[in-house]
Amino acid sequence: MVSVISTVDTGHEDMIHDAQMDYYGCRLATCSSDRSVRIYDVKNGTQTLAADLRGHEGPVWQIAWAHPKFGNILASCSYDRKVIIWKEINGQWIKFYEYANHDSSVNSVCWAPHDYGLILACGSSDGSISILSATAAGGWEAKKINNAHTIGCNAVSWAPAIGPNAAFDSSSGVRSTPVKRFVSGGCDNLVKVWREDKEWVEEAKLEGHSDWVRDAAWAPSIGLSRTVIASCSQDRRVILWTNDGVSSSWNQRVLHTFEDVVWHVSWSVTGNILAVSGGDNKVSLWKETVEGQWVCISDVNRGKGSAPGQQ
Amino acid sequence: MTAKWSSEYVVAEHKDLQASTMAVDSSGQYVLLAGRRCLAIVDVENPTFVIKKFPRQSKWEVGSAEWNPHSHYSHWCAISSNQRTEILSWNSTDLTPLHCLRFHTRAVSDLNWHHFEPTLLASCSVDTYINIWDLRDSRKPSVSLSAVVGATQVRWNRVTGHLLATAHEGDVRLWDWRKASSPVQYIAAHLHKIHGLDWSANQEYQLATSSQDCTVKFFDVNNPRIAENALRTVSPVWRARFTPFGEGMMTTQLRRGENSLLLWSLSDLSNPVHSFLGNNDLVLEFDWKSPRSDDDDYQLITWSKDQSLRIWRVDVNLQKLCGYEPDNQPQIVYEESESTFNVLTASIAAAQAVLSNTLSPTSHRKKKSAISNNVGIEALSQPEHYSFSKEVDQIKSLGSISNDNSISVCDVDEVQRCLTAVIRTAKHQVVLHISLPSSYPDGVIPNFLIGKGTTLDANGRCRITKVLKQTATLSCRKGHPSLELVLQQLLSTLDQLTPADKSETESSKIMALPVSSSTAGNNPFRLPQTGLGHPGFLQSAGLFGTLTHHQDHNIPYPRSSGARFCSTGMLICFGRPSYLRRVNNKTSDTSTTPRSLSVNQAYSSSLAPHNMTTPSNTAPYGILYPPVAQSPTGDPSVSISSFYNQDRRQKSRTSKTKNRLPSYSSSSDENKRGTHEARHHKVVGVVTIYDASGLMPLQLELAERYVFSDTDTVWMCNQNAAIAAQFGRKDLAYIWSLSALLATPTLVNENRTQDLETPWAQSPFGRKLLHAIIDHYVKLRDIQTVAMLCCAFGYKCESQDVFRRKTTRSESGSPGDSPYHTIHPGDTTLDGWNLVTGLKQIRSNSWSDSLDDFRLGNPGMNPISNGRPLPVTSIFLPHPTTSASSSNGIEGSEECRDKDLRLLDPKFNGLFDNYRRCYADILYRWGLLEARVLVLKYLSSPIDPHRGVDFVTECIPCRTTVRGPQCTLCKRLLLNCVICRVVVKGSASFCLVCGHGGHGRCMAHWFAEENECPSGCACNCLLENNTVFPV
Repeated sequence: MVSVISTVDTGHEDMIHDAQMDYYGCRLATCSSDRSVRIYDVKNGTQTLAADLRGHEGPVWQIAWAHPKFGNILASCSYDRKVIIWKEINGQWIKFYEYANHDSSVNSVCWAPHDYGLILACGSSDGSISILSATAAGGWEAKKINNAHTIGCNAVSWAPAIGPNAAFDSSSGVRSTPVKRFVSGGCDNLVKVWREDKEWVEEAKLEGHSDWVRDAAWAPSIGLSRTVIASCSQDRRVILWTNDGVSSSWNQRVLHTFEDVVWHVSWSVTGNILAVSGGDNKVSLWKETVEGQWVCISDVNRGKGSAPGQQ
Repeated sequence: MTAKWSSEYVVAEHKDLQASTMAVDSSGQYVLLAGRRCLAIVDVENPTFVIKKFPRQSKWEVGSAEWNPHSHYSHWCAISSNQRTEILSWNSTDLTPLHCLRFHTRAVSDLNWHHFEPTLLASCSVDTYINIWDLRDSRKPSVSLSAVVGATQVRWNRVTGHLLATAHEGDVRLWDWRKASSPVQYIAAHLHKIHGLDWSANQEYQLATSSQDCTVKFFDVNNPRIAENALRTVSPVWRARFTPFGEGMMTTQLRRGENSLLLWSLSDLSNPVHSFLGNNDLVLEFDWKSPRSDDDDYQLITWSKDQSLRIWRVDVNLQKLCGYEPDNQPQIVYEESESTFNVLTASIAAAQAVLSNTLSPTSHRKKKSAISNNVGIEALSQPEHYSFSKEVDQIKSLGSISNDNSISVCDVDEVQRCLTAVIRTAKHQVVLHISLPSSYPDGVIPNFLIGKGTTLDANGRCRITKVLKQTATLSCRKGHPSLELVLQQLLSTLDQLTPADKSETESSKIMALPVSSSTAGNNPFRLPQTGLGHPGFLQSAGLFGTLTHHQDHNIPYPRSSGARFCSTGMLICFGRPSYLRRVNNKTSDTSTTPRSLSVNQAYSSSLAPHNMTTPSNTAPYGILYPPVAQSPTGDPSVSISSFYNQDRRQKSRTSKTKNRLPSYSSSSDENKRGTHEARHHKVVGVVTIYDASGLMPLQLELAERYVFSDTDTVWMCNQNAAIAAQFGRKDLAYIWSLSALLATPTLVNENRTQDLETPWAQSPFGRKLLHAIIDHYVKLRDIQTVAMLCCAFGYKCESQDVFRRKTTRSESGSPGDSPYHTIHPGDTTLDGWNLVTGLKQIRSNSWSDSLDDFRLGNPGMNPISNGRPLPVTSIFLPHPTTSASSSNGIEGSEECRDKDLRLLDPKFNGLFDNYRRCYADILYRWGLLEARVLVLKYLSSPIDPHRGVDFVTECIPCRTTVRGPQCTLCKRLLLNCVICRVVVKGSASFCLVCGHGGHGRCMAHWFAEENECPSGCACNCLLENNTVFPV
């Protein structure tokens, strides 16, 4: 079911904190405690180093590729309180924009769906979330949600642009503008849903975790009215939050309680498989059955090098 | 260690009791000694005499015991034994059980009576619950608080009634029992187990924790990121409790041989002010007996493991050491010391406000506001033009001024508007706490406070203090922010000073009263900061240790492994190499990974104690983040990887099997080196890319080969069935064949002519079946099949109304028009320059306001769609009958009928469009751009029209703007070629900068040789236009 395409030795000098392929699956970006971001061209099982981006003064926590329609753009965030947006221009990666208006480590970056334009959300340990939008003039505009999470914000993730409700009324043919939403998780044990209503407002506060929320991921939509958010926490649990698209209430359901803290949740492109990884160095994949049950389809100790799915 | 010590004056041994704990009742008359075998009541006045002894038949020890502190209920006593808690009543002759509280499922670890409600009792247990009992109903707890970790201690706040603290290993949680769902605050207090908790009796938010790590920490629970103060001893601290008099702290140790009780004054935590020697074994419990009268003294009663009860007298002199003032004003100590403290403040009013707040504890008690983040309270009163963060940035930008001098900023609190600046020169180091009053900078200067870690003598301090004040006053008088100037001034002053004498610094006890900038009042008084602790402390975990510590407290522990789905079917995994296994952390019993980064610091510093070298002066993050920010060639013991130890067995196995891992020499004494090596061998950075597309319901091969036809659904379905079968997808082949049957034109067309019959779509095998199929694949998340079905059945049904709009357009449309509508909108506007289209627009203004609105590509009219496959992998097929059905005159009723005829319910068009869009996005990721466009063509409502550059011309006499070359009103042709002066129709070219232009051919001819505009306007058209739309 699952096979190794390639193994990339990134050559980082310290722990890797994030690795992501671009939209097409051709380029790999990694970031590490050695303060660098590296980009590899991955083709037919071989990889070549395309760029080694230096500019952060602390460990780089997370990276995010922008939609290719804006060009090759990568955002990175770091302990040094900065967010750097890198852009490839004529084959050279340059620092496109640097945002340094956070007072503590920036832990998460996430690009908005491309339909909204080039917009980046950043969550920081100073408790605030910044929304950076590229302006027509080529500059950047920042909005800040102060004190979004007391103590600190650990994760941000955008809602898909294909909204839960049909984005337009088919009879009139007039499309209503989709509402921008994203989800965030923080050290106040809360998962919060934000909506842009001229200003960013807190739409829902999801209480369920009993310790720091480490990651939150909004599931990709395939057009259904049901919305799902996955969140994981220091309390070793992964919670799936669902909203039926009609009411404003969110149902919570604990996917599983893991053996160690859970650091990361990631949805597959159709939103039916969830990859969960955490402090125990293991990756497990969870799939929703036709009956709506979630089952573990693999439990892999990555350190042992076996692939998910090859039980 | 301590100058003074005293001995007990009464010793009473009760060897037979084997009591594990002791409690003194509120009247100070009785002592309860409780153990597994018996309970005993002893008279304090005559401690050798056991008033009454009650044998117990239990195999469980008594965990904790406490008398009710309320005078009316002082005869009540609570004891815990395994899972149960018993409430006993003592009537001076007999001890009778009143209640037995059973709810915990594991042993009860601690009990505490409420300080204001006599019937409330809190109990905590390792079963992770904290139960609050109201003894008026003892059947079940009135509130049950659920923590994830078992609690070892529980203590009610002594000032507010609804707040309680619990200790869980090294963490403290605060609860407001009115909101039982989750703690209101977490405090990551210690790295090691917390043995004791105590609230200050008069300061609402002050909490002390004593821990295995040999420290007692004082927290302001409103600001829990950093301990306000810490007391260090040489052995683990079992209990630390505030003294009932003055500002003192009593601690007991948990190490064999350390049997004395130490009394500390909170104003100086470097050394205990008194030791109570005499116990021959560990002190299990101690309590106070309050004085009966004014001339009486407090008495300290202790119960030691050697089964002896000892009573000490604590006379007024001892109490005075703790800041006790005989006239019973405990807070006076602050007022008195203010003059001697190193506080420089111009905002005396603000300070007084704080002081007065503290002086009246009642005002605190009234403020029942639970712990809340006091954001914004202050922001309101700030001068609007001033930005705190901006100023902080300014200071940060000062950074390193030269090689020798540096300023680093840390601990910035925007809410409280305070920060700590560390100024380093070749000779000196100054730690400066700065807090900004709310009205700063309008005539009010910041509060400066010289913190510990400063290498200056008293003289030097005085001097820089003066300088700071003067500079700030000058600047603030004009209302300018002053910090940058102040710090620069400070640096130059420091250079003039002589090197500091370190020993002198240590001997001069610098007391500092941090007058908090918060005038909001809910920030309680902090503990006075004290001078240096043990010698050597500065080097090991002092300044840098604490700075990094609280900085990183709220930064989550870095991920060192992860998995991410990327693109369509890729799973990217990275992780720690298998030879790095987590260090078996002796410090905490919890097996989970820590949550905050600060753990790592402390951990690595404990690995290498007293080894912390002074970080380089130049890199500000060097001090903030030594472990990982240090170069990899630095000390190997400090890195995130230091948390993970190398597992040797695993290592050797891996090195055998995995070639990419370096082989290590297998000598056994190189644990540490292994980590070091690992980082040099760069195997930390292995990322594995998996192809997980097998798990996905999508198949690239199908997407590449699927065909589209907007007219012949049957053909399309059959083709796709064949394609699915070719790739072994029998299920899909079946569905496609079924769809082909569904779409059989005879069925559909038959119905169309015979109006009386139910349309085919309404039969159970029509629309219903199709929808059922689609729903099934939606559940499987097979968006590929769903979207393809939507396309197969979508266009045909909707083609009607599109046709109606199209016919006119198609008749006149140039035959070579591209069928891809995405290319279209731009073309349309350019087409406007074509006279024919322009005329048509005049004729048929009614059908659309915007040309962008309609979609091109009537396949019936498309000359290239005659069955010849496009150069792409998908095909258009014409249907000879379609154009016939595109009559203009469909009546309203027929339109209604038309809806019934469709196999896809038009009601759900929005949803179907979402499916198509979603699939189109996946096709885009696969790079199948043509297929994507074909799918998007089926959208029932147009995708966002492409808005490119729009050209309009203006008819000056009519004052209208038109898109075409001719004015709609006066029919005048508007554009003349700048070269040949003839009216321009068709291809035209204009300069975007100067606006001059003309026939495409004329302009091409001109610019073949020239660069400048032919009109003579001196515009360098060729050059300028390149910069209009920079690529």
